[in-house]
Amino acid sequence: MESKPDLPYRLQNIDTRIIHALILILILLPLLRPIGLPVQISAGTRAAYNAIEAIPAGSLVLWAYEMNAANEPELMPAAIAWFHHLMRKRCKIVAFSIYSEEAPIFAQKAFETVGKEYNYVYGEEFVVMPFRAGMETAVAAIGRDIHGVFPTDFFGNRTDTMPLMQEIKGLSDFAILLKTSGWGPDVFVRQMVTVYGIPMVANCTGIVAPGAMAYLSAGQIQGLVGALTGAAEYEQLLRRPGTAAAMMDAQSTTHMLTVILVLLGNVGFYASRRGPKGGR
Amino acid sequence: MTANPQLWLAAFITIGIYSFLWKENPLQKIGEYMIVGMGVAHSILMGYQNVKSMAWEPMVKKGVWYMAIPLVLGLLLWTRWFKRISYLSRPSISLLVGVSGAVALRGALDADLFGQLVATIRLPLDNVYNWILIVGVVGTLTHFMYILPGMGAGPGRRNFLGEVLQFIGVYLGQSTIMIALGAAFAYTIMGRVSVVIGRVQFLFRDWIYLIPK
Repeated sequence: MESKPDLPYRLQNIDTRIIHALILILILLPLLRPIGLPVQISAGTRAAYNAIEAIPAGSLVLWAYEMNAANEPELMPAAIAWFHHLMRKRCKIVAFSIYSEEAPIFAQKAFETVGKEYNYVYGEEFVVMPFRAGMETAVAAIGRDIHGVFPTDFFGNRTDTMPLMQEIKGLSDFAILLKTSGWGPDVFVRQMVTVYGIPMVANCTGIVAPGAMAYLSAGQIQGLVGALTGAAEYEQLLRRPGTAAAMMDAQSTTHMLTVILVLLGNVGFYASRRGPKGGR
Repeated sequence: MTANPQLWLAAFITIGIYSFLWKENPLQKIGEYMIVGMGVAHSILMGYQNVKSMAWEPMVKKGVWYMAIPLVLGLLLWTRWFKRISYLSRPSISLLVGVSGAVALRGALDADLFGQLVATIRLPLDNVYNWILIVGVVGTLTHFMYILPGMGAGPGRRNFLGEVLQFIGVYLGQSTIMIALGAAFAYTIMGRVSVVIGRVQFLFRDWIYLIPK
């Protein structure tokens, strides 16, 4: 007869289906009944808020809107908060993408959601450009000649007849460069910040946030909204709780479970090393 | 519960994909293939539109003849599929690699090297965070010094500088790297959880209205 596995073994080999079920429960419960755990504002998010707050009302804003289906849940809350912030100040926004083919769809979706509230007019105060291939070379080209790279917008309308695009001669006309993406700010720092000296604020996914912090510390970007936490912080600074604030409770409960599971796994590991089978 | 067929389809695919957590099944495969198929189809369409608006139309409608050059170079890339003439793709690849490298290099030295270096050197040591940053940078850089620690050492001869550098590299450098990797991994978990929360919100809020909007 096979002997039952001991506790240290079981602690290290919890059935993943149990973990998945626990995660689902711990996400769902706070969404159904929000706990309202406090969110502490980080320096990067505060700097991002201050940088956008500092630009004059009605300024031109260039926005590298690199969102896709995979990172939308993480990036959209901060993007929505930025839209509110910019539209309150009636800033004129030009959104483009060079990494994510489906990004213009998400930019338009966010604009339609928030723009209505502020009576924004497409073509006069907001325009979404089509995806352009070429990655870093495309960024360099946009810096050199934005009209040449985007003769038409995402919908095929000519950009040279748009009132918003007629205000733009070059990159120096923009008050700030915003970047929403699942990649670090390095390409934009190299091709736009360093070359043209345009101030930049980044919103990125959690995976790349630690790497992006080096650019914030060096003063190469003026603010950093990292992951969903950053979005929740930004919503708090904006005094407009949105989806990120609602999601943060679920984040916290899931993280607690992760910490507990890591501890249990380690306890199991060390117990198995000290036990008769581990043989120390 | 919503009556929108688009949301029903999205819910079907979401549940299908997540059913993989139980075990591999046809529902998950259908969802997976649909997503991959749609992604590829969208990319092809975007590529086609890019070529059409950036090169083909300017050449045909406006007579910008030199747009034929990128078009020909682009076509040559496809020769990689045919072994006998695959060498024709080399000029296009060389150009892609060369231009990308040159463009990246333009700002790389300033942005990624000197910018970071100068900012670290100028860091005011008036708070504990900056001290940690300096110690971490020095430790990490020392960790990647492979020559100095061994230099001058031999039988009966000690290299004190080397030993000090090795100590800094091993203890401070490795610890800093491990902490940085830990932070990156923790952020990764946060990112992945965000995606799950997004889908749970979609299913229970947008699809079956269990969570209030």
